[in-house]
Amino acid sequence: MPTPLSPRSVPLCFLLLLAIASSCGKEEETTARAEVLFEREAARPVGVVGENLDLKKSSHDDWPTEILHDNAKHSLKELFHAMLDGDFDRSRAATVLAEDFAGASALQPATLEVVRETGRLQVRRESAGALAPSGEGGEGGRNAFLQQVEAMSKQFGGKHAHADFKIISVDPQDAAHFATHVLVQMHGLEGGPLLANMDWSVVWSGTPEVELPTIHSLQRNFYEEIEAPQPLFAELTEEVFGAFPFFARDFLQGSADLYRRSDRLSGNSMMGWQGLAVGDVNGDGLDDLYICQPGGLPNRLFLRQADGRATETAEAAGVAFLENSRAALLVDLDNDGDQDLVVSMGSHLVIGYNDGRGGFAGLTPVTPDGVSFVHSLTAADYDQDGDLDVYACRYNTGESGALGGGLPVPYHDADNGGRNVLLRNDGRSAADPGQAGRGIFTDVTSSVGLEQNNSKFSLASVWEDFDNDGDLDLFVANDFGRNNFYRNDDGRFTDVAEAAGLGDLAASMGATVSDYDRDGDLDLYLSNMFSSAGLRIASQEDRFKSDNEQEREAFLSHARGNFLFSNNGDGTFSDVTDEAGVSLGRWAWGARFVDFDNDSYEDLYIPNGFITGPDKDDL
Amino acid sequence: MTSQSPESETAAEADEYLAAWEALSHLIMEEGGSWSGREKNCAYLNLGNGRFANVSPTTSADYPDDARAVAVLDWDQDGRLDLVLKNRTGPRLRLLHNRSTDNNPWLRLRLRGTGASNRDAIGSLVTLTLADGKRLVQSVHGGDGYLSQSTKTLHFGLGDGSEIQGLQVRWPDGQVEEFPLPDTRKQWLLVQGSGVLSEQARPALARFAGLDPSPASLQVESSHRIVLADRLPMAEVPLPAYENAARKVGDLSGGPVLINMWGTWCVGCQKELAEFKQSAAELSAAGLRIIAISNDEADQQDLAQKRITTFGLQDAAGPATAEYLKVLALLYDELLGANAPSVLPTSLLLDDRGQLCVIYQGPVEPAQLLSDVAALRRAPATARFTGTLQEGRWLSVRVRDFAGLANGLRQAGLNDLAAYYTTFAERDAERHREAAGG
Repeated sequence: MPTPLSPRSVPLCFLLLLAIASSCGKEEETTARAEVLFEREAARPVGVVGENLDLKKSSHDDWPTEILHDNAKHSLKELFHAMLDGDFDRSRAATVLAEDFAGASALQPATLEVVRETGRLQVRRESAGALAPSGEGGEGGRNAFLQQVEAMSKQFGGKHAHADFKIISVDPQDAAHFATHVLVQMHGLEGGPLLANMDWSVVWSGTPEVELPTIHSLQRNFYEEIEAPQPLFAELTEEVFGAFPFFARDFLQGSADLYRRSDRLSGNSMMGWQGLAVGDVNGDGLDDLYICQPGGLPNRLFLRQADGRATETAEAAGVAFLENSRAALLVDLDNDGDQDLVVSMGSHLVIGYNDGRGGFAGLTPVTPDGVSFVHSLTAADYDQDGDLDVYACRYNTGESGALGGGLPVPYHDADNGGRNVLLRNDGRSAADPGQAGRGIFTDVTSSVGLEQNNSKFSLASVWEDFDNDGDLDLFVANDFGRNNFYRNDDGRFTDVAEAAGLGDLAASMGATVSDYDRDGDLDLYLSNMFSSAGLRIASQEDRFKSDNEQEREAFLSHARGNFLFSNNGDGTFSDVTDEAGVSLGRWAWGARFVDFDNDSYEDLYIPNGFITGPDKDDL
Repeated sequence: MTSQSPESETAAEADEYLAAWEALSHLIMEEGGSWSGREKNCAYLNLGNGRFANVSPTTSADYPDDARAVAVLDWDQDGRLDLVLKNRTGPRLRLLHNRSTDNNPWLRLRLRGTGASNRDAIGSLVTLTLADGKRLVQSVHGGDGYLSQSTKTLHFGLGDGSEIQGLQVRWPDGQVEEFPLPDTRKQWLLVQGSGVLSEQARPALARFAGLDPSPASLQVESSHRIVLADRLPMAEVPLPAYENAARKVGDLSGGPVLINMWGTWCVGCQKELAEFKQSAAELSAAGLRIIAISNDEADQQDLAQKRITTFGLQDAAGPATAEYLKVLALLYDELLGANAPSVLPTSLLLDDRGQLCVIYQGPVEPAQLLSDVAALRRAPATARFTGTLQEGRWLSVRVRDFAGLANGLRQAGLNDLAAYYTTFAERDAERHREAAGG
């Protein structure tokens, strides 16, 4: 029997579980003499236990249900291979059905309702209501189940058929059975035409020693089909940018390759934290792009040409900075009718004023107090004095690496991150007429009340008049713990996250706003971490000591995925994530509301993924 | 509400936590591990009833990239919102053209604040009232999402075409203004206080709709040209020679130098050397001297010396000694980090003062060398920076960790070199003091 973990070891184990996808692969050894300049000893981690830490092993030793998870995963893979690899393989599918098969509900409901039709795209789902009835058990039930599997195989199978699934909970039942909650997404043909989203509860026959457990029973909780005769998007990257001679070097290589081949002095990292800004830089009425790049590569300014391709003018415009740049804004800071540029580098900002023709002069460095890693930038006129102020999210108390300035402590509600700053634009009242009143920014973070809860690992912010009182409130998305929701009252801010219903603990990375339900107020979608491994372990109440319930819930919340908060109309929010069905991103960075199909209901796009290494082993 | 960290209560627990992070970091940075890798981007379709459907695979935008940021704009002005993605993995930039098959009307509104409102009208709230009494609400943002700023032009999808019955703007300064009703499928400029709409003609790029997808794909380059952010002095670094065992880099004064590391078993190296030979006249005219250092074992150096003669580079050539390689490895650690690949051939381009400016990993074309030598000549003699060698410019002073380098050399028993680099640490400390004073 597993012993309950001490409260102290929980964060450690949680971290390891989140990283369970990692593996310790080594590069292939070759016997021929390698074409290397010099051989080096393999670097070793310097941690106290780091040298002997086998992440996968320690995770599994602490969490035996992870073995059950791996086993169920094998069996589900078998089932989907039988369904989707060429013709239906009935005998292979039959191997995942238990001797003591007790019955399954139909995989597909008899009737589906069209819930959305837009152009040639159609969404059909089963009506909510009673649980799908279970079929019979025994041989007859097995045959009936295999017939349904075969029917789905015919519907979805083929060259590009694919099934993705996640097991989000594992609960041992008795000595011979365990229950799982499984999310399945199956699609036939590349990019459509048919997609099915399914939610199953599966009880398996099998002990941890059984590598291929078998299905004892299966309950369909949800079924949905989407038919899309053509993909929503056509990628035109090469068409628009591909002609630039620098394009392959600067944009087709991954950040890790760029990092290993750049001067460390360039302040580069392999994390890929480089963003972009959209704005009309040359005043021709068309939006252009400013692209931040890692240290040692120049940032790029792509102007949209009449033919839809881009020209690149960063060098000529004076903004081809080589510093490791993270975020940028194109906004009119001096109210002269053109788009000025703000770029974050390390703990600093640089502001360039547009000369009206797309060139930038009068570069002004802005160096707030303290050393800490700036991530996202936003601009808003918080004090309604007619010019735009700048808010910078600063992550950790250092300028380099992932966590160069210290590790988040405690993991689930860290309070040792960087200091965010609100920089008030004092350009208009500047005494120096020679500067045309430009470049005067005052750090007003403390005086306006934003020092409250201001040592989080902040990644993004968004300004919005959530409480509809005529001024802009500020939401800040924080990694490793709670977010900030600063209510603006005449230019003074108070963090009311808890009272506003936004007090959840999570690893937040982005925030986006829209009136998604068209009720007239603005709602909030947060991109967080979704971890099925985290969900699996944090949901196991008996594995946590009873005095540790709060922490367990914190970890559960950390793994739950994205949040959708519906505005109650007064700046307080209700968590509607589950009924909306939008929790699953994955390692979700800044999601964005965007109306894909002009139906006036804003849709969501979610960029995902943390670190992909050359090793193929993954969840 | 700040809670003391329970994990930091004892040093042992804090150490354990730190060690776990370090082990993870090591796994990812140095052993090629993944952490939430190959996770696909997601797309949800809003069903209009408070629910969403996960339609990711039908968008073809469900890339397994390590995505980071997404920005939204109508790149081709066809009335559908497009996406630009920034990724960690290659390709690191993607542009996705929206090909929705809907025929829903839309409206684009560009706002301009006046008076006590900011000109970009960031913070404005626009309300469209539709015939069915429903309202559409959008606001202007200056950045949102993560590391991203999307277009400030408001884009309203209008659904199945319910007629617009009202257009109201609440400007950033609080003024509320009603505007005339706009025609759909057009872009309009709304200037605060004007009370009128002016059309901004933005014809759609017709050709975009018919373009076949042209996706970017990951590219792994076999040759790399690494321009250093600051020249690295190497004058005191030993440079082994067949004829003069005590030679140092600084003995090669009087012009730019290319130190080329090669081996007799390395096919790519000899192909490169053959190209150098073909372009020997041009390279020599440009004043570039090529010093070939063979990485062969000691018992192969006779062969290496003979072979290098066939390329006409025998005069200043030499064998890579153990000490030379040890020094190079330590310099590499400082310049590129301990995990930088070390390949053959590798060439080092030094200026006429023995300062390293460019590292070429893999073969380098003679044309590139000629261009780089010319760029070096154009650079001011006093410049610390190799700005002419690449596009772009540094805004900040980059200060190399010469003290750390000296320390590493000292630990390796290379005391003379350690002393040499210590002088640069002192020089930089002086620079810092000057910078702080000025």
